[in-house]
Amino acid sequence: MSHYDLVILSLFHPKVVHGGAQQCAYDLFLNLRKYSNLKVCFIGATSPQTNLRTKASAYLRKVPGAEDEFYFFTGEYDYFWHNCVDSRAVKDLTLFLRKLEPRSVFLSHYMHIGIDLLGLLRFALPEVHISVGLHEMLFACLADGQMVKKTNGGLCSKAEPELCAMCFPHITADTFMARHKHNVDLLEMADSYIVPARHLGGVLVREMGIDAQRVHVINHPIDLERYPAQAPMPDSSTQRPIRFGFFGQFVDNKGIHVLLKAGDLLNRSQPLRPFQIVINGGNKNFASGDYQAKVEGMIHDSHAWEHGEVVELGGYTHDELIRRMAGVDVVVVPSTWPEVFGLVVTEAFACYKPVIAAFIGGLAERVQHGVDGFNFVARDPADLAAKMALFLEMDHDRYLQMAHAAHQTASRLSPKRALESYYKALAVGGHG
Amino acid sequence: MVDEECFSEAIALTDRWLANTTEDSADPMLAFIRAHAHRQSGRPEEALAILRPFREQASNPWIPFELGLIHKALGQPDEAYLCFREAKGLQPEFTWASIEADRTTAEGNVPLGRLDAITAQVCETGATVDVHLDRSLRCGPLLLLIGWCREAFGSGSLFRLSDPLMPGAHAVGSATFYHRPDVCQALGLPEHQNHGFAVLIDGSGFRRWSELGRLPLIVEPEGEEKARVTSAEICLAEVPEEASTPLFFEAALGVFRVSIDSGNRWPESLRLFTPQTVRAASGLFARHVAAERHDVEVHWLTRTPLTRAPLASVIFVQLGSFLAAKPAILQLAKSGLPLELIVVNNSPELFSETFHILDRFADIRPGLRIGILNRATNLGFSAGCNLGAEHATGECLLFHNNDLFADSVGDYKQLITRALNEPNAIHSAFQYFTDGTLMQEGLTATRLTTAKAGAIPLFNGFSVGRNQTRAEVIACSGSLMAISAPLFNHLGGFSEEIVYAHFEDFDLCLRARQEGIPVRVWDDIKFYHAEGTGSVAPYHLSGTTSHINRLLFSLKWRRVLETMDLPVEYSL
Repeated sequence: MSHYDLVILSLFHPKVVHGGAQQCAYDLFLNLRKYSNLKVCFIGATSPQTNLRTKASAYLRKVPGAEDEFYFFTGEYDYFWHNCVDSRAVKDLTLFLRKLEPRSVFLSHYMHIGIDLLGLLRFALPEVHISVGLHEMLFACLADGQMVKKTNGGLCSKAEPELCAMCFPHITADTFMARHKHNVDLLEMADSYIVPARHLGGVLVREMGIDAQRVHVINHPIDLERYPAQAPMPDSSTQRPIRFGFFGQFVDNKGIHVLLKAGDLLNRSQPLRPFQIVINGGNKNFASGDYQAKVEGMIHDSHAWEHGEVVELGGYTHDELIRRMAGVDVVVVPSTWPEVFGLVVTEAFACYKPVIAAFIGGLAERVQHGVDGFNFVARDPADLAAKMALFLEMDHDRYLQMAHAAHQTASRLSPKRALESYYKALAVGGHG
Repeated sequence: MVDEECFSEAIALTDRWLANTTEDSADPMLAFIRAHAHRQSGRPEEALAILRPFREQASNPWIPFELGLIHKALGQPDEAYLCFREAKGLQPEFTWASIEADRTTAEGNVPLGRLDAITAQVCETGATVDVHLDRSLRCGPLLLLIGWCREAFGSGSLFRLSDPLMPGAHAVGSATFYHRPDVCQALGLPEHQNHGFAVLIDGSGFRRWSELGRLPLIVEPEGEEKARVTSAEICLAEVPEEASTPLFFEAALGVFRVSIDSGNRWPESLRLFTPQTVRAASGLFARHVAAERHDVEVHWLTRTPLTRAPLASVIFVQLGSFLAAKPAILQLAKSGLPLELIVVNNSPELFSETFHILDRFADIRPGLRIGILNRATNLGFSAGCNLGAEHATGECLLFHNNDLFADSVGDYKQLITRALNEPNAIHSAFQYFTDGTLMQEGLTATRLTTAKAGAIPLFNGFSVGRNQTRAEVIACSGSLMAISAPLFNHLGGFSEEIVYAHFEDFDLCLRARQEGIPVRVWDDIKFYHAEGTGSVAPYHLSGTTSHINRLLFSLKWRRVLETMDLPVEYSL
C-alpha cells in the first residue's frame, strides 16, 4: 500500500446513497485529483440500509472500477453515541488507515463511521493531521442536529442537557451531559474543523469549547460546468405569473407551511400580478403524519386563491434539478431550523435564480439582501409574503440584475478557490 | 447431659450444684431438667416431687408436658391427660402435647368431657388466624414464607415454629405486611380484604428439620401480648430447598421490594429482617460468593505485551449496560498513562456489548491493557471489586463506577499520581452532579432516628457537601476510590458479607480508620457522577440492598459509631 497525502472519509459513497454531504466530500476528492498533485484516497461508509453486502470480516473493499476508492462496511450504528456498535469494523478501518500512512485524514462526516474514529486515529497515528467536517449540529443536538425542540418546535439557542431530556424523555439529563462530555473529548482530538458556514463554526466553538482558530469556514463549492443553465431571457410580460419554487425535502423543518401561509397572505393582498408556488419536494414519507396532513390541508385551501396557485411536482434527481430550476423565477428557502448551509441556495444561484431565504443559521449568510435575493424573518409568513411581493412588483430589468448577481455569487464558489482553503485546513498545502 | 441421655451424671451434677446454692432451687427449668432426668432414670416419684411445686406457676408448656409424662409413667392417665392439655393450652402449636394427649385418651379411657372443660379456657387464647401460604422456600438456615392473610398485623410481627422435641428451640422470624389491591381485585375481593405478607425465619436453632413433622405457624402480632395460632402448618422436610442462592435472594429481596412498592415506608418493610435473619442472609451470601468467585472467564483483549507495568488498574463492576462508561474509558485512554482497565461483568448477557465498547481501544492505544472478567451470575459489587483486584497488576487500584467521568483528563492523572505518592491512604475526589452542583466531598455517617427498624439503631452513609449540613468526612465513596494494591490487600478488600452492594466503601474506610489510615478526598480534582445511569439492577436489587446493608452496617459498626458525634438524619 503506497503512501497517501490525504484520506477522505465520508458517511456514504455518493454512488450508493445520494446526499449533499457525501457529494461534497466526493467532489473534493475528484477536484483534488483534477487540480492538485496530491495522492488522495476516498473511503465511503455503507450502512446495513444500503443493501451493499460484504463477506464476514471484510470491512474494507475496493469500489469496483475505481482507483483509490473504497467502501467501508459498517454494521449496526449507535446514533446516540455516534459510533459503530461492532468494534471490529472501526478497528480494522483504523489499522487500514495506519497502513495507508497518510499525512492527513479528513473525516468529512462522521455518521456511520463513528465520531470515536477521531480518538482511535489519534492513538494509532499520533502524528497525522486529523480534520473533521461538520454538516449539522449532531455533536450538540440529538434531534437530528437541528436544534429545534421536539416539544414545541421552538429553536434551541444552546444545547442544555435538561432541555435535551425534555425532547427525549426516555434519556436522562445526566446521560446527555455524559454524551456532551464524550463528544467534546473526542472532537478536541482533531486538529482542524471544517464547516460550510460561520454559523455552524460559531455553534461548534460555543457548544464544544473548540478553539475558533482551528475552525475553517469553507463554503461548499459548486462546479458551474455541471450547470449549463441559461441566463433568463428578457421578457417584459407582466401578466405571466411569477413562479416561486421550493426545492428540497418535504419534511417538517423545511418550512413548506410557512411558504404556503405566505402565499395565502399574498393572495389576500390582491396583488396586481398572479403567482405560483411550485413545490419540488421529495421524501414526503419522512415528514410527520401531522405535518403531512397540515400541508395537505393548506394546499387544499389554496384552491380557493384568486391570484395564485400551488403546483406540486414532487421529488427530483440531480439531473432534473436544472430543468426544474428553469421552471421557476425565484427560489424560496423557508427553513424553520438553523439550516447549516443550504446547498439549494448555491444551486439556485448557479441557475440564475434569486433566492428568498429565511434569516436563520447558515442560510442567513448566503443571501446578500437586495443583491442576489432577500432575507425574511424566519418562520414569519407575513415577512416572507412581503418579500415575495417585492418580486411581483419588480420590473424585469431589476429582476435580471438580481439573477446575474446570483450567478456571480455562485461563480465565487468555484472548486479551485475552495481547494486553496482545503489545503490549509487539511494541512496538505503547497500542492495547488 | 440430658440431651446426650447421660441422666445419672446430670442428676449428680445438678444435685451438687443445688447443694451449694439455694437460689436455683426455685428455677423451673432446672427443676424440669432434674425431673426429666429422674423420670428417664426410672424414678418417676422423685421426678414428681421435684416438678409438682412448679405446676401452678408454670408459663412454660414443657413443665406440664413433663408432668404429664411423669403421671403417665406412674400409671395415672387422667392426671397425665390433664397435664398434656394444659401444656397445649399454654402453647397451642405444641404438637407433642397433642400427640401425647391423644395417645393417653386412646390407651387409658380418660373421660374427655370433664378434662376438656378444664382446659377450654386456656385454649381460647385467640381465634385462629386464617393464613394462606403461596410460597415456601428455604435456603441454608433461612425459611421464606410468602402468603395472604385476612388480618394485617404490624410489620415486625414475629412468626415462629417450635421444635416439639427441644424445649425452647424455636425458629423465629419477622414479617412485613403489604397491600396488594391488584391481586385482591383479581380474586374478586374488596381491595383491602386480603393482605400480602412475607416472613423470613431463621431456622438455625433447629437441629432435626427432617424429623419435625408438621408444625403450626404461630404469630406474635406486633403490639399484642398473646401469640395466636395460624391456620398454616409447615412441614420443613417438605419445603423445597433452593439450591441457587441468587434465586433465594431474588425471592426474599423481591418481596421486600413489593412491600415497599405497596406503600409501606422502607423502615416498616425492613422489619422483614431481624438482626438474626439479616446476619444469616449475609452469611449465606458470603458463602455463595466464596463458592462462586473462582468461576470466572478471563478475557484479556490486549494482546500486545505492555512495555512497562501499569501505574494503575482501573476496576469497573458492570451490572446492566456498560455504555455509560464510554466517556470515562475515552478519558482514561487519553490520559496517556500506562493503565490497565478491568471490567468485572456481572451481566454476562451483555458481554458482547461490553467487548465492543472496550475492544476498539485494545492494541490501538499503546500502554493500555484491557480485560473483561465475565461472571455467570451477579457476584455483587464488593466481590466484583475484589475479583478485579485479584487480577490487577497495577501499583494502584482505582475503583470506578461506570457513570462517572472526569472534568478533564488531568483529573485522572492527578488522582492516580497522588495515590501513588501516598500509598498508605485512601484517595478520592470531589464529585459533582452533571449540572455542576457539588454532589459530595466525602461521606459521613448519620443516625437515622425515626427509622422504625425495631430496637436496632440505624446509621446511614451521608454525602457531605450535597446540602448545607456539614460533618466530618470519615469515608469516601466506592464509586471513585484510589488505593494502593498492598493497602487494599492489607485491609482484606471489600467485605463480601455485604449483600450485593452498598456500604462496602464505608465499611472499608472504617476498617482503615481503625488502623489510622487516612481518607483523602481531594477538592482540586473534579469528577462528574451521572448517578444512576451506570447500572440497571433487576427489580429485586433496586432500592432494597441499600436498606439491607444499612442494617448490616449498623449492626457491625454500632459500637464504634455510637462513640462519634454524628449528625442526625430524620427519615420518614
